[in-house]
Amino acid sequence: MTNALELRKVTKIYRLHGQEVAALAAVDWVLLKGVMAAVVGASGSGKTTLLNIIGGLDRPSSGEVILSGQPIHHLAEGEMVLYRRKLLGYVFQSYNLIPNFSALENVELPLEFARYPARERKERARKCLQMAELPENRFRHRPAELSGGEQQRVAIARALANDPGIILADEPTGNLDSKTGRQIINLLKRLSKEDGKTVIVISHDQGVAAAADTTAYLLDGSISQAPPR
Amino acid sequence: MHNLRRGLRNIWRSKVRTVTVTILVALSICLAITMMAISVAVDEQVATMEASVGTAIEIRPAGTVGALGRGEPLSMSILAGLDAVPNVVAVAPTLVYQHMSRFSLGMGQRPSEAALEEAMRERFAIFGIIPGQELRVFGGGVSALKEGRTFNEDDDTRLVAIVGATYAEMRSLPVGGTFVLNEETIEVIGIAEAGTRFADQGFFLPLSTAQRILDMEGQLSQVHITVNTLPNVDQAVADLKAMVGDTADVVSQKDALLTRVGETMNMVRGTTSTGLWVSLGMGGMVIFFTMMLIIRERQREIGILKALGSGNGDLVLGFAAEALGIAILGAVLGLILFTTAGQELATRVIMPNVTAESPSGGSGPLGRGMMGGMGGQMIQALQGGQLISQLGSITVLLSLSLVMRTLAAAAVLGMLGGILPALYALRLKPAEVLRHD
Ligand SMILES: Nc1ncnc2c1ncn2[C@@H]1O[C@H](COP(=O)(O)OP(=O)(O)OP(=O)(O)O)[C@@H](O)[C@H]1O
Ligand SMILES: [Mg+2]
Repeated sequence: MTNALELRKVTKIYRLHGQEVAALAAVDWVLLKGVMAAVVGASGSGKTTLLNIIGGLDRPSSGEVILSGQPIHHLAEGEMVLYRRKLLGYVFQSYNLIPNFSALENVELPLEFARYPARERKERARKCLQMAELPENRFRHRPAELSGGEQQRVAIARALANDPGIILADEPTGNLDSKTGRQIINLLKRLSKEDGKTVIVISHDQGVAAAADTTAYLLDGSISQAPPR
Repeated sequence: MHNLRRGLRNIWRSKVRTVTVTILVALSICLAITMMAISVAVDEQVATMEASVGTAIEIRPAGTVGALGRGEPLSMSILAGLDAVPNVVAVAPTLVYQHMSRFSLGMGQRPSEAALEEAMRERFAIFGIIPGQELRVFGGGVSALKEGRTFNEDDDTRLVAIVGATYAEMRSLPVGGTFVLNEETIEVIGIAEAGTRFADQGFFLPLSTAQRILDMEGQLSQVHITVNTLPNVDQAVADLKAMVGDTADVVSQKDALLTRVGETMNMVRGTTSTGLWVSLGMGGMVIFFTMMLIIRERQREIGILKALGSGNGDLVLGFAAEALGIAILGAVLGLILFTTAGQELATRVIMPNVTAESPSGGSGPLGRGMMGGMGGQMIQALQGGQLISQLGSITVLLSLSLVMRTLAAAAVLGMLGGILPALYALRLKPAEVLRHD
């Protein structure tokens, strides 16, 4: 089985007012394909920084990031775009849907950037919304007309649209009640089990860690596989 | 395509802002169209004027270019050989005399309306022309015979006159009636009308008769020369100048018009081109700052779009479409504004230029006696003044080419106003803009 993700000595240093802050310190991490991983840690421990670097939204100060066997840490922005289109799907805590687009149009968006033909795009968008279990009669609704749980389903459908190998979710349940949160986690879990997606979920929620196949603990930018004592 | 669609849809995200910005852009575009329309209209008007002045050339006393233009009258000898100049088809010598009114003013005294009117009534002009030629009046026009007959060869030294319509009316002179000038009795053989107060408040005499009665033997005020075609005018002016030397000035009506109108034209052109650039600049700035505002507002969304795989081209196209949409909306509203308020606006823009330059027109003749040396100058002033006031009353029209130019200008504004801010959007780092909720 190939590794979906390999991090080697990934370090991220922010310089602020002449001070250096190590958000990530020599992080090594390997994830197999089809695994659901939870990332847990206190606020400011570097979880979002880690996810952004894996997702190619940010670049490490040093170290290597290898997605499906491809090193991406040295890629220029222009090349990185192609990886985001093909390999990665993102889910955010605050859904981040485009407010003047319907659910369906939001899911079509990444397909437009990937230059899918219109017919195929519409079909694929519907299918993804179905996979995310959004009721059909909500497809034409705008985000403001949907509940938080429904919006997060649209966001997950949008992350699935390009059929990426890896789905990155930064506190996807943070704005939801616990019941809805559980449904979303179950949905993500099913995607990893049934569709072979590698899913990385950041959460404060212990339930998420319990549902995950593996859990990484972040403490001041350092990663460990065992919960910190 | 989807980028354009997305950009255009975004225009409606903030309706109040879009409406406000559209109005601002429309105002500046309306101004810009007005400027373009004025310069089109003015160019057309000048072309018409140039065509209408035709092929006339005037020979007038030397030194009449100055403000008052007093010069020695021309002598009859100047006529020698003029009709032999190539391309010259007609030579019409004229003597013009302005009868002085007795009206006079003390220093610092303002004339009453009634006194001025009385002075206007008393004055009259005498035009001495060669029998058989047109009833050419001072100012470039020609009187048309209304009643009676015109001069024939036999009238050369006779005491006969063709009187202006106003002159005839004020003195109740019918054809066949007589009046007295310098103790000589003159018979009215015709009545003519030019349509200008100055010309119609006077009369024509055969040249020799006029010279004798006015005691201006052998003198001329001007020689009116007609050239066969417009392209030959400049050469004919050069030839005539070579012939008359320093004794007289030779000016084509075409040149006289252009010198007189040129200054006004330049002012109008200056105003309109400055106005055009300023108003387009204003429109561009409005779009630019609006787009900057929009992009700052949507930073987070830009980060999301980047995360979803939007390339630089996608982003730029989206914002360019949005800016272009706003610009075109502004242009359309601007065109509508122009059709309703453009004429008024144009008049306001052009009038200050024109009135600032407008010469004192026909007021010259008042209180002046001997006209011999002033002919050319007056023609220039009268005609220029008339033409300049024509410039002031131009009609601005919305032509297809103007609509196209407006839309093209709006497109450029939209492109610049959209693409520059979009380049800023490209530099946003997704990790940073997504961090802040
Ligand atoms: N652009 C930046 N400039 C300076 N410091 C930064 C920047 N981004 C993050 N940091 C710092 O890096 C550290 C890790 O931040 P990060 O957002 O990854 O934490 P987190 O684990 O996601 O926290 P939370 O649970 O609150 O979201 C923090 O100390 C943060 O202040
Ligand atoms: Mg975070």
